[in-house]
Amino acid sequence: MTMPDVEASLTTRAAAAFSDYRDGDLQALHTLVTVVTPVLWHVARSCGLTHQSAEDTVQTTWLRLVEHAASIEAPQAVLGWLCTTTKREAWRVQRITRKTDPVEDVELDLDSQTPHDPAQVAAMKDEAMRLWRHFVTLSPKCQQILRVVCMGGAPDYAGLAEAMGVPIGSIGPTRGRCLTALRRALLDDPNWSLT
Amino acid sequence: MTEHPDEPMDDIDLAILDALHQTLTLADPVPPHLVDDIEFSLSLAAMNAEFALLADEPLGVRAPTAESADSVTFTSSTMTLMVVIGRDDGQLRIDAWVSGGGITVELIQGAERTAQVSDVNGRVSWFPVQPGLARFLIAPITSGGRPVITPAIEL
Repeated sequence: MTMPDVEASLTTRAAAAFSDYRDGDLQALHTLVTVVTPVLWHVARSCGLTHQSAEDTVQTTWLRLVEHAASIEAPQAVLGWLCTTTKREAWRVQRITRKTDPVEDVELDLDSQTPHDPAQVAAMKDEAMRLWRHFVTLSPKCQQILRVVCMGGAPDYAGLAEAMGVPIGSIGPTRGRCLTALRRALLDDPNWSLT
Repeated sequence: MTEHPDEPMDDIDLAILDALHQTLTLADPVPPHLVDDIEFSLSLAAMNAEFALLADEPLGVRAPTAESADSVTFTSSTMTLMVVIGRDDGQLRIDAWVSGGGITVELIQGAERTAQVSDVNGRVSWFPVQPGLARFLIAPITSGGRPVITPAIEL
């Protein structure tokens, strides 16, 4: 069995679990689902899906993986494959929603996804709330990209950005315009500081 | 300090992304049951299960009161399962009839699974039963047949 370092990147842990699963270790599928589902949740939600649609979409993605496991060439590609499949399924669901419910606002609107439970809001530290306020002023596209990219660690950023449709240069991950916009907003905010 | 999109990421960028990760985890957490639901779906797919249809209550079953019992019927290509939800001593009770004796029917509530084998009249029952979402998994009736899973109903 492949034993990745606990500090290994999401990409590496997903690849190791997927490789073990394809070698017949069914428990490895549990590991893969546990490790990657939070990322896929945010991929689906970043496409503007409701909670229920996002849950259905992520479930569909996993069923597709089991169907197509043999066709994924390299285990290292599995995280990107899962993100891309979730994104495409989310778009498909969005198109259906648009047809059946034309009044529904299909634009990504993270502000409306902020929790309304006062206890939960109180649990968010001041800094987190400040960061959130700046985050929701970014363009919907930038919110979508950063929301997914931040779910991985530094070694995962390039792969996750690429899965979300951001081309990656040959010299490695750069800051990009979305992170630059958020960084400028935060650094201009006298009340914000990194802890 | 410069902030240009073409620059490599530095420690401030990494810290911002880490803070955003933590904020999103609070703002829009993954539903706690989602991983269990996914694994259940995957296990059904592995079994090649057939999905039964709810025959008479398209929006699910009302919670039974002390005086009433609700019933719901599921159908598939190979079997019918009628479920009656009632109360016994203030606790939920489920009686169900499946099309035949000797058939294993599982009551599934979250991670809890309780299997019963139908008697000669096709009857299975569970008591006491916890309130909440429940579904039923019926083992293949014929050799080489497919198991049947019902949609979830609210008890």
